[in-house]
Amino acid sequence: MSPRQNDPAISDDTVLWRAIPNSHICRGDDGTERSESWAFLSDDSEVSAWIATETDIQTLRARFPNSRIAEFTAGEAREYGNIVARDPVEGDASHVVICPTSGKPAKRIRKDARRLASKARLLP
Amino acid sequence: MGEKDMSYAVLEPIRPQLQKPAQSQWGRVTSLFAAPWVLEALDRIAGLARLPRNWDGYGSPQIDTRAIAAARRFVASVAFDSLPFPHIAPVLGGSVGLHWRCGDRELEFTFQPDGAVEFLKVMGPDLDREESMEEGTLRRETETAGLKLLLWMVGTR
Repeated sequence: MSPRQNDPAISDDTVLWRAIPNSHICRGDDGTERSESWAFLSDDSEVSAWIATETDIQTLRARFPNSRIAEFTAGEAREYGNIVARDPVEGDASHVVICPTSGKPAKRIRKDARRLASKARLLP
Repeated sequence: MGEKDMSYAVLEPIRPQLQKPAQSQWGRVTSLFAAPWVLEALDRIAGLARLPRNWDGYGSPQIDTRAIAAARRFVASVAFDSLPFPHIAPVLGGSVGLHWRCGDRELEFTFQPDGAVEFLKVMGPDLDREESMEEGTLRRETETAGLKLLLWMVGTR
């Protein structure tokens, strides 16, 4: 499979949603919640997300029943060494994948997952 | 000497170490049963085995029994009172995750089915600083190496 290419048509301010398993949400001492870094890692280095304006949150919630929805922007994903590419699956054109940029050192992947997890906002 | 007696003879040198730790850098290490969080943590980790395939909705496999066993061994080996309860989570690839936080220091461990343990140290709230995080993989003597990391987190190293 050829490497994914960043899609410049997905602007940096495009809002993305990712379903986060409840087990990947931790609480700080002050009670604030955030995603664990594991929520932004994938075995195949392709992390699924959906373009918010092209899907609806109820559909996503129904598909991932034991999860919360985390919101972040394509720009935030790119800021941490990723590309954002469309990946329509099963007729769902809103699906995108977030992948490490070409040549990104493996040791940075986990750190950047932690950074993106901190930036992502968990929706109520 | 029967088989039972042999077993006792092997275990004997270990028991005093668990019941009365030496007064050294390991002085914070206490009995397995003295740290109240340990038994619950062991149960929760064991419970990850009941998760079905695709527990995350992204097609992840069931949690591997070897990863569960490794995580439980590790928790049992770091049973000291000053350690807070870890966040315990299933992780993609059949792995087990443990996340500890102590002030502005954090430690994430990912126990993989092949025996490797990945760790991520987080130092301070400003994650954009390159030096704010350190990652690595423990492949040998993972319990000792992991304990040293935890001692760093609680501020004794």
